[in-house]
Amino acid sequence: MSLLSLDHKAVARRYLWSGLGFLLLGGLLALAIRWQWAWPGQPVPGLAWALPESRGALTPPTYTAVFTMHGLVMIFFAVTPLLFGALGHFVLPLAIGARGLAFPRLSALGYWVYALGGVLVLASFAVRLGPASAGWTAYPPLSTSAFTPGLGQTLVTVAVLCAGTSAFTYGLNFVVTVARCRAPGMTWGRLPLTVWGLFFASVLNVLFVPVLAAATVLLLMDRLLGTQFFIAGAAAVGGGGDPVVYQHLFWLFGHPEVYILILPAWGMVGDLVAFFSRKPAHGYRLTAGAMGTVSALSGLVYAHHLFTSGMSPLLGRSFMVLTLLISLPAEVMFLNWLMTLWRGSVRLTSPMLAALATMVVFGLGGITGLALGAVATDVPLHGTLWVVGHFHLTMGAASFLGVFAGLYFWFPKMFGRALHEGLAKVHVLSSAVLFLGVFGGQLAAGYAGQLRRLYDPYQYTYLKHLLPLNQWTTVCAFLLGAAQVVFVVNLAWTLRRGRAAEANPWQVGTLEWTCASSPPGEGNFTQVPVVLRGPHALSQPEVLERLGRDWIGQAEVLPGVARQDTAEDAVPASEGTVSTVGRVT
Amino acid sequence: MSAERNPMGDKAETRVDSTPHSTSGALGMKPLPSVSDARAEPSSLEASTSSATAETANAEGTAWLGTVLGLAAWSMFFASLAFAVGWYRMREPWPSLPVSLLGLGLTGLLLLTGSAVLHLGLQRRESPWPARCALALGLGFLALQAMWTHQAWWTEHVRIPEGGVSASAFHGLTALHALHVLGVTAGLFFVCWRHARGADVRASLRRHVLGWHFVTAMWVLLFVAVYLP
Amino acid sequence: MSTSIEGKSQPSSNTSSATSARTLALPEDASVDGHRIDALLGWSHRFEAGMAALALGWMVVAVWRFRNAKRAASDGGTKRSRAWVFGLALSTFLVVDGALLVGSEGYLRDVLWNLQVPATDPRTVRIEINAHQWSWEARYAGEDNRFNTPDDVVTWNDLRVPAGVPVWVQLVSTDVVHGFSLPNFRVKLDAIPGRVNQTWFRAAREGSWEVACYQHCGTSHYRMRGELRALSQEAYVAWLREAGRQAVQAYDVDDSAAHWGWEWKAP
Repeated sequence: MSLLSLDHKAVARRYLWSGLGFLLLGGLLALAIRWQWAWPGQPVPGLAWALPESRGALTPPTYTAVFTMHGLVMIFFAVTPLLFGALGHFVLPLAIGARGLAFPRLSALGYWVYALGGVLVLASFAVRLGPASAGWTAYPPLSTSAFTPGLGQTLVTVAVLCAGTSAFTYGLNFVVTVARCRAPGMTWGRLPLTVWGLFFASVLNVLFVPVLAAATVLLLMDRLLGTQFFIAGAAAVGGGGDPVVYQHLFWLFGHPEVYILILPAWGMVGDLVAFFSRKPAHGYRLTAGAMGTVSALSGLVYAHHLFTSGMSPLLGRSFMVLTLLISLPAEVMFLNWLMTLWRGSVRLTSPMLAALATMVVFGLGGITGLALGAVATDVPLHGTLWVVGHFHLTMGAASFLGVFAGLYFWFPKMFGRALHEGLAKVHVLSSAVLFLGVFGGQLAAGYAGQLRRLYDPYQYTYLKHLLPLNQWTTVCAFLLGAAQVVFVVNLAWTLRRGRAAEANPWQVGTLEWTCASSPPGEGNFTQVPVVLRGPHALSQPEVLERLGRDWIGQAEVLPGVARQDTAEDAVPASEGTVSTVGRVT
Repeated sequence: MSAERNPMGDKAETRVDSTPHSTSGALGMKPLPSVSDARAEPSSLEASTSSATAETANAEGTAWLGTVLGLAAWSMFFASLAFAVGWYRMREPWPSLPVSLLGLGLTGLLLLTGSAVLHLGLQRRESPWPARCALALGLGFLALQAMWTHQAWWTEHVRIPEGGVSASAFHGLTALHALHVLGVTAGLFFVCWRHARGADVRASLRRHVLGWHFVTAMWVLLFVAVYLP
Repeated sequence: MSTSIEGKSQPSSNTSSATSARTLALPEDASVDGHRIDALLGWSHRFEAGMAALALGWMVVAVWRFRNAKRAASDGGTKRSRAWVFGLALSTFLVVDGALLVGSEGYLRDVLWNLQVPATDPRTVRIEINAHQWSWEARYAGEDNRFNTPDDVVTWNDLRVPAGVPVWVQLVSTDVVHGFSLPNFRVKLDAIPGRVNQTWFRAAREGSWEVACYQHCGTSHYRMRGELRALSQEAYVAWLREAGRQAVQAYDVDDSAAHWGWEWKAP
């Protein structure tokens, strides 16, 4: 499809390639950091051309740029575009029975704004003073021009605005699409959980990206125009501003952002676990409600990132309580997933393995967040690699594995070909194990006190003994990088010579699988489906009896049923009623 | 792009389009697409079949919802700025602005007048004058805001960086708001232009009017947060 | 969880914690009150292990037992199963989060946000710290007990405190945001330009430990290392007196940059 196509599937593909490209860049930057912690000051193999004066070794200024760009690239240019840009744009209209997004031109524009941001990010590497180096969080005053002069930081700040603008537009697009473009009979209660995840995440995008925009614009004005919003202390002129205001605004965006990055993955896990247990998701409404509750609370917990900033005790206590509270809906949702497996017929396909792996890493990551949510236990852990391990498990590993769960699941639909299932499973399992190795190693190092963002942790005596741990973690990281080659090989080979995929290889009932070809044509459906039931109508007795299979499409007419009515449940209410079939709202 | 037959869509349509002037207008409208949607219906000036009209009305309802939600969400941008300003002012009171408060208020009055004019104008069908009037008011607003900022900078020496955070907020937030007004005014200009060339811009105009109301409301926020002592 | 086995107090040794600290242990705790945090962390690990075992175990058992099962249940849960899920989540939440909340609140009330202890203790040592790129500058009030006077003792990357008494720290920065951390005393506090943050701690015994910066503050952030020495009361007083005497002699009334101290802020 041409680069100018407005079709949501074409836009999704653009995001997919860009996202994967930036994922590679972000991953390489991570490996550079890990190298430095394992072999401090040693030349990094293959980097001599980029760092000639040090013969390829990272220097302190280079190191600050590397960890900054790793975070920025991964969050704004890799994970988000893969989850929302690639998977979200592709799946959402199909799954709700729409012919496209509500605003196709806006979706195409959103991609190009994101791409512009990507270009700025890449350009910043070529700037003489280097790219951004104040951390992905870019706290002022460090990130103002007084302490980080140069074009690099400015370019990256503008790039973040571009990525944010893109997110706002597709967030709006998704919300309106779900609200207005659902096929007849597709009530809110019949939406796949993936759609719920994308919907809630889009609501958060739309509400909180403007807050990031405000913080970033004010910072940009401080950098370029000499304003004093965030400058205090010796660099301030005429009664300065307050750097803490930036922290509040940034994290008011930043915390919902981490939920934005995980909600689609949660939704996908909910669906995949049901599909590959061949039974309806346990507690569909409870899960959707839990996702909604987490979204609602997400903006109210943000200041747990500021526990050490000297906040008033009242604020500190309030945020502690709210932060701990958010674990309740997450636990409900997790238990629902586990209950879905129970008494199901579990099929360990590659998407299912990825979904289970997502559960494992997310569960572990979430648990390690509890100690960070209580102020007292946060004090020794704040700013250490425990925090890094926590968010890498939840945001890096879980979102990443969620992306791959989605890719492995929807690849046949997107490209009309089937990936090699064996290679896919090898990729998922090795990645999951190695994720645990790398981020578990980070947790351990952080617990022992290793602070973040240190070029050379070992010049602190109390951290000297962590060198062997860091080396081991680095080995895991390099192996993790190598494991991704399996995916690349699978992808490249399949696109070139893979066998054609069936229309519904996973044998599930959602609309993209039952009413559209692989890949779907323009307009997605030959005729708009009329939805009759929920997304997890699996192993239903009438279906087994009349059709001889354990699945039925959401819009499929069940022969022999007297009345097919979009306005009522087709399944009689009884003990063990399928709770996924909703009523018209 | 909305589905062809969407019973809920019609319901939603009625709910959203509850303002008195629009629903009756929708059926009598020429079925030219004025939505930001690429898959435009064929641009025919003849009276359409009822299904095409329903489609257009549906698409317009979608565009309207997008505008409402988008603007409501974007108010978070200004709310964040107001939060920052409130923080600074609670920490330490600011010197009062050397620019006439009455002058700033009257400048804002232009926006408020524009809101009223546009609102009334939406009820009068094909007249271009409310929109053109608003255009003039918008440009007037921008000119006056530029004048106050100019005066503050050169005459009253409210400057960046010497003026500290209060000067930064005055100039910075005034400029950010003005950029939004510029955007809305430019949009309104293009609506007037398309109307002059014979297009049916009613739905588009309604959305731009909402944008105008938005910048007016944000001006009130700006006034209270930054200008008022 | 458990602290390391090291316990020697050699004022000038830098190797005391390096050789004997166990990899998976918190940094050695040399503070009077830090054990409360360590104990709470210990509990959090027990909870973590329990929850992880339960969740992982359940998943493994379910996959094992129901892999390719002939028939799958057809319901998405009953009222009872949903209630059970909610009940399990709620009780786990109340127990685990409740314990963390209550334990943490105790520490906050008694220690972290309880500045009455250092404020009312006559032996309290007050230190003003000015964080720079990339060093820690500390100011003691000297014998006149007032800050920003000629007898103030100002040190670089060198904190000396008496063991066993409250040390009350007020912290500023004049350039960027820094993070003042005493890993062995469970102390962390942001140094933010434009505001004065405060905290306090007590050294449990004499010895030599490190000061670290935990907030990224520029290229040499990793080298913002200081040393904290806990001395006996006599040694501390002797040092302060001698250092104060030298400070008075070296005092330069024109060096305004050196007079960065402030009047002690009320808690």
